[in-house]
Amino acid sequence: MKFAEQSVVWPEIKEVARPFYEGMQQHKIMIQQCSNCSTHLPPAQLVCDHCGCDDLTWIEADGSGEIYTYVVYHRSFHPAFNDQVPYIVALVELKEGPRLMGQLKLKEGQAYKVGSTVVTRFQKIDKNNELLYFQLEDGDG
Amino acid sequence: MMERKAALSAITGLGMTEFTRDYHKPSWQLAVDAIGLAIKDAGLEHSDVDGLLLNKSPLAELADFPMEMQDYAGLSNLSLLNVVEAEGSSMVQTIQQATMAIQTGMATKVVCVFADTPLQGDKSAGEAFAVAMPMMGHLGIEIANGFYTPIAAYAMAAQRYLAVHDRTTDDLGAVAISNRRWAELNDLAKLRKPLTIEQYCEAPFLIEPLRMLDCAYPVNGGIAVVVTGVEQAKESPQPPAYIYGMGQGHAGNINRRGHQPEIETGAKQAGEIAYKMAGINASDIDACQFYDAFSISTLINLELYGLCGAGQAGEFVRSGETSPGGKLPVNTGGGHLSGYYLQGATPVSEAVIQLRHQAGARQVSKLDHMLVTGYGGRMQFHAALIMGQQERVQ
Repeated sequence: MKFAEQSVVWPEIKEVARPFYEGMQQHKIMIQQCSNCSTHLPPAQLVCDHCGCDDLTWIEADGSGEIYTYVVYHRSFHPAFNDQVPYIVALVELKEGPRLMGQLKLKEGQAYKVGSTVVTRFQKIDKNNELLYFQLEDGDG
Repeated sequence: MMERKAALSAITGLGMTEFTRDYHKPSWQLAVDAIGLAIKDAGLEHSDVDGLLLNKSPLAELADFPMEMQDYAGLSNLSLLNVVEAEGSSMVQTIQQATMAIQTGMATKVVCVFADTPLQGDKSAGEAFAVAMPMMGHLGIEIANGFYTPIAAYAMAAQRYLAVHDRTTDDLGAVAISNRRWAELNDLAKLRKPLTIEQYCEAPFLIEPLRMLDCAYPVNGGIAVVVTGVEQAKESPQPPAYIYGMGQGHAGNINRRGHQPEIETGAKQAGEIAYKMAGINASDIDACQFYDAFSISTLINLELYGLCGAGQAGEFVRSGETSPGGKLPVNTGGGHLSGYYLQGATPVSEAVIQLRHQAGARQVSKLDHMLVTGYGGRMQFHAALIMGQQERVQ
């Protein structure tokens, strides 16, 4: 593979998603809520898919949820992740309903499956950025 | 008993370039070759063609597959021209648009073409497809988590499917084996060595729960078809492959409780609309040509297109029903997994070959109704055709 050497991968943040990324810097998980029907929405939407309302507010989520599905990378597809293989990327359904993507970091010997309860943690991945990850509920922070 | 509907249109020309793992020429040039072969196959001249619908690969830039393809292919008499961009559902959508244009009189002989060159010398297939799949919309957090390649999006779907239905990866393996058994009978197929479940299980995971054997086998190549009206098709030198029904379903990518974009896709809606248009039920389908970029999608599509109960597709495939000699042949050329991955053009090409009775050792005998599908994105875009061999005049 001939990708450019790169140690950390960070997305170009779209304006509509900025409150989520600013939240992560303060160790908060920000989701959206429809002001008309109160549906909790995953970041970052412009319109509520339930009622069509475009008045959405950002709220802080509890940060706990369940593993909805996950994958395990047994091979790296980007040099920044070569050292991490094997690593787990999970879609977690937060208590409030929206689903978020993040890595699931296990302690030795921990078993997990779809439906396992997780909590959100944060790690500093470079001098400017904090990134969420998940741990099983009984894991220490 | 529903009333079977007369055909809406027919595919009368099929053009296929060589399918190679090495790079010979750019996509647009392969497209020009495929267009020429399809027009000739349909018994037409370039000047007869009045419609051109271009299916650009999602991997390619628009500049690589532009509207100017008209000029590259020597088509100067067009009353219909467009680039159809609906990811993996595009090829089926081009045929749907051609049919609608023919039905309304906007065009009479429409060429639909796909070509792609994911393998380019120093670039491996893995590298060509190693882009991040946009699962989370504007959030864009995928790459920060190392969530690269479409394989991962389908691995997410596979894990969800296996967990919800309490199944194992043996169900995925059954699909890979069924495809391989068909590929053994197809000279065009690229992977033809017999495959056993033991060999499948011994293969390492790529992105668990998917192995390399669960993924499409990419090639460079081009495929074009000519779509005409039913009357015009009677003059065709080749047996026409008729279209009776068409449908689309796009259920969105909604990542919250109450929605499961991984396993509750728009395929259901696409199928229901297409069956109704054709005047049939799912039980009337004799064979399927599914878009199968990954093994998991065949299981999900068998269920959502109403051909299997929920969670039962694995058993159905394992019992041999989709394999040669089974009661519902699926992906009879080996599909994308063992045949050749030219996105939506692969199932369309195999459908035409089968409906013409030109499939040799893998020919399916009863083909009153064949389901031909395409899907794209993380499986949120779907398009389907119901095809057959009879004009079915009313």
